[in-house]
Amino acid sequence: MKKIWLIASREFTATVGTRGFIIGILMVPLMLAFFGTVAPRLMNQRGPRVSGEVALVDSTGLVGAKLRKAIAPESLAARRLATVQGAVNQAPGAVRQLGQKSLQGPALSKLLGEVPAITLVEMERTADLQQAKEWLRQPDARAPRRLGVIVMHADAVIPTREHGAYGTYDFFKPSTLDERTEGTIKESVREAVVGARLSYEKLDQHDIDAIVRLEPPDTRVVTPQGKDEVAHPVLNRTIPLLLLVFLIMGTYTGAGSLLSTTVEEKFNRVMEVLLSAVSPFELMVGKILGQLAVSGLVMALYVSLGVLVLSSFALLGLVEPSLLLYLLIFFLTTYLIVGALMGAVGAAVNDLRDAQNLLLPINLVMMLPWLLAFPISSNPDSTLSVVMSFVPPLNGFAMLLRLASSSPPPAWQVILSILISLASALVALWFASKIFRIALLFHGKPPNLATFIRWARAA
Amino acid sequence: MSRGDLFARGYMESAIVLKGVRKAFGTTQAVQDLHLTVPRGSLCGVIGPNGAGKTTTLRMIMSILFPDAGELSVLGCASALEAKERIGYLPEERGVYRKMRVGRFLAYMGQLKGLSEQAATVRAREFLARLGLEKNERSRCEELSKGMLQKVQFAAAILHRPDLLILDEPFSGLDPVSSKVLRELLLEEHRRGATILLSTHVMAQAEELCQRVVMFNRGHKVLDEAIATIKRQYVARTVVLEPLESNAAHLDAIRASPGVESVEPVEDGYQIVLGEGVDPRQAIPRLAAAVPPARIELSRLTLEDVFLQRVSQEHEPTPVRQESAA
Repeated sequence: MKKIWLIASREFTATVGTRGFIIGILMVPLMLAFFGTVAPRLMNQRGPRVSGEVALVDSTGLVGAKLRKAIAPESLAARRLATVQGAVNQAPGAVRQLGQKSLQGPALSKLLGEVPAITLVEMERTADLQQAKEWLRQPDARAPRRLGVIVMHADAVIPTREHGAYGTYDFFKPSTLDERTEGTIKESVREAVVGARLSYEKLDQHDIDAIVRLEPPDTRVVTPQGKDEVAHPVLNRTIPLLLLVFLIMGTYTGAGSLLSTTVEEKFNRVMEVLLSAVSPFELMVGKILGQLAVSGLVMALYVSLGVLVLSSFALLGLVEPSLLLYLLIFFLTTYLIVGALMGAVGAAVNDLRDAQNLLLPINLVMMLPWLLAFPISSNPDSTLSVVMSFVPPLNGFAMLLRLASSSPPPAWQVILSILISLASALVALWFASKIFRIALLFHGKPPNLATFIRWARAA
Repeated sequence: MSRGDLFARGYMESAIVLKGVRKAFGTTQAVQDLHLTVPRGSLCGVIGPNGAGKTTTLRMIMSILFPDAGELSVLGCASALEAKERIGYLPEERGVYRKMRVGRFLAYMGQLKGLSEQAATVRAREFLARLGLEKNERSRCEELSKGMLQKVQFAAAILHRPDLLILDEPFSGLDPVSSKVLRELLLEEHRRGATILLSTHVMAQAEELCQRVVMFNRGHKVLDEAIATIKRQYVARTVVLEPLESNAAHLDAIRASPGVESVEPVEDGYQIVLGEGVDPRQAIPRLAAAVPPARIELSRLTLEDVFLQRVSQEHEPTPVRQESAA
C-alpha cells in the first residue's frame, strides 16, 4: 500500500507541477473572463454609423408618412430598446437587475452601436420598376449611400375584394447591404404598413398593442415541501449541462494524463526500473489514483468556482446538494472506467501516435455525451434517456443529466446505474491490470484490438 | 510452490533457483528448459551473445516477465514480487524520470525499495558524494551525461543495500574511468555479502569479475561452471610462435611437427593449434626445435574460446528470432 501511495503521489506532483497543467487549469477561468469582458467588445454591434437613403414607390399612397416616422432615429432607438428589454426580462432575477442597469444611459449604444440615420426618398407612385431599380446605382462616392428600394403592392394596405387578403411589398437592395441594416429597414416597413392598415380600419394602434401584449408570467415552482420558489428555466437548462461539462472535464483530465504519462514512462524506459520495485498491479493502481487526485483537484476548483458564481447571484438554492454527491459518484466510476482503458492503451503502445488507433473507439464513445446531452436533458424520461442510463461508460453522463433535470429518475434506476458503473469499473481495472502485466515491456509493432484481447486472455 | 516446499528442497541456501524454466514470445523460444542455481554470496556472470536469452532470464528472475513453465525461487521466495525490497536491479534498458531532480530520483527509488524518506535522502546524498556527483543533486536527470546517468542508476540499484543484486549489462557504454568506479562499487557490494548476478556479452569482463559463469546460446544454457573449473577443464591448445628470422620453409617445418593440428601465418609469426589430447609441455619444445623462436607461448584461454568450443560441440538448435522483449 505504501508503494501505491508513493507512485500515486509522484504521479500527482509530477502532473500538477508542470507548466502545462497550470496553464490548462487556468484556461477555463481565463476563457470565462474573456467571454465576460473581451469577447463582448470584440463581438459588439458597434461600427461606423449606418446612414443612407431608402426609396419608396408607394402605389397605395398610405405608407409613406408612416414609414418616414418609423425610420426616424427616435423610433428606431425605441424599438431596439424594447427588443433588448424583452430578452432581459427572460433572465433570472439577479441577472435581470444587472441587465436593466446596463440598459440605462449610453450603455446600450455602446453595446449595439449608434442608431442608423435613414432618409426616405419618395418616388412617383407610378414610377417604373426598372427606373426604381436604376435608382439603386450609386451616382458617386459623395452622394448619400442608397440602401434599398421598397415597391409597395397596390393591396398592401387595403385588401382586394376578390381575395380579401393583404398584399406585401418588394424590396430591392444593393449587393453590399448588411443584414442588420436590411433588418432595420424591413422592421420599419412592417411597422409602417401595419400602422397604415390599422388607420384604414380605424383601429387605434395603442389599443391593439395593449390587447396583444402579455407580460411573461412570474412562474413559481411548488416544491414537495409545499413551498413555492421562483422558476429559472434558463438556469434549469444550464445546470445539467454544466454538470456534464464538469464530468467530462474531470474524466478526461485524469484519463488523458494517465495515457500520456504511461506512454512517456515507457518511452523513457523507466518502466523496467519501476517494475524492479513494484508489481505491475501496484504501478497501475498508483498511477490511476494519482491521476484521480489530479482530476479531483480540477473538479473541485471548477465546482467551487461555479458555486461561488451561483452564490454571488443568490442562486445557490437552485443546485441540490445531492447533485454534487451524484457528480462525485459518477465522476469516480466514469474516471475509473475510462482511466483504466486509457492506462491500458498507454501501457501497450510505444508513443502517442501509436495510441491513436486504439483510442479511436474510446474517443468515439466519449463524444456521445455531447450529442446526447440535448435529447436527454430536454426529455429525461424518454426511452433513449432511460436506456443510456444503463450503458457504461455513458450511464454516468446520462444519469447526471436526468438527475439535474426537472423530472429526476426513480431511485431504483439511480441505484442500478451506480451498480452498473461500479461493476464496469471493476471489469475495466481487471482488463487494464492484465494488459499492464503483459504489455509494459512490449516494444514493437503497435498492437491492435485483437492483440489487446489476446493479451488479456493470456495474462 | 509453498514456502514450506522451498525449505524442504533446500532452496533457502541458494539465492536463485530455476527449474525447467521456459519462456516463449509467440513462436520464438527465448529460454528453453533452464535449470540454474546461484549460491548465496556468489558473484555470478551470465554471458552469451546478443539474443541468447540473458535479459529474458533476468526479467523472469525479477518477476517482470513470467515463465510459461518451470519453477522459480528468489531469496527463498516463490517469486521476486515477495522479495523486491531485498533485490537491486539495473535493467539493460535504463531509464529515469527526465524532469526529476537527481537526488529526488534516488530518494524516490530508495523509498520504493522500502527505505524511509529520511534514510533514502541521506543514502542518496552519500552515494552521490561517492560517485563524485554531489554537485548534481539538484540537477534534472535530463541534464546529466550518459555516463553520469549510468552511475546514478547503479546507485539506485544498490541504495537500499540489497541481498541480491541483478545487473544487466552494467558496463555497457561506459568510459574506462566510470567503468572502474562501478566495478569497485560492485565488488564492495559483494564483499558486504550481496549475491550478484550480472549479465554481459563481453566475456572478458565476466572472466575478470566473476567467480562463476553461466553461458547462454540461443535460449539454451551451454555452460554453468566456476571460472577456476573452466580453466582446468578447457586446456589451451593454441601456441603463438614468432621466429627468429623469416624463412618460407618454417610453415612446412611446423606442419611436420608432431601434435600440430593446423597452422596459420599471422603478423610476426604463426598461430598453431595443437591436436586434442596433445600435451603443450611436450609440443612446445618440439616446435622450438623445428623453428628457432624469438618468442613462443601458449595462448591464454579466454571465455570466448570456451564459448566457441562449447557451441561447436552443442547440437545446433532450431534458429530462433528474439523478440524485442527478449
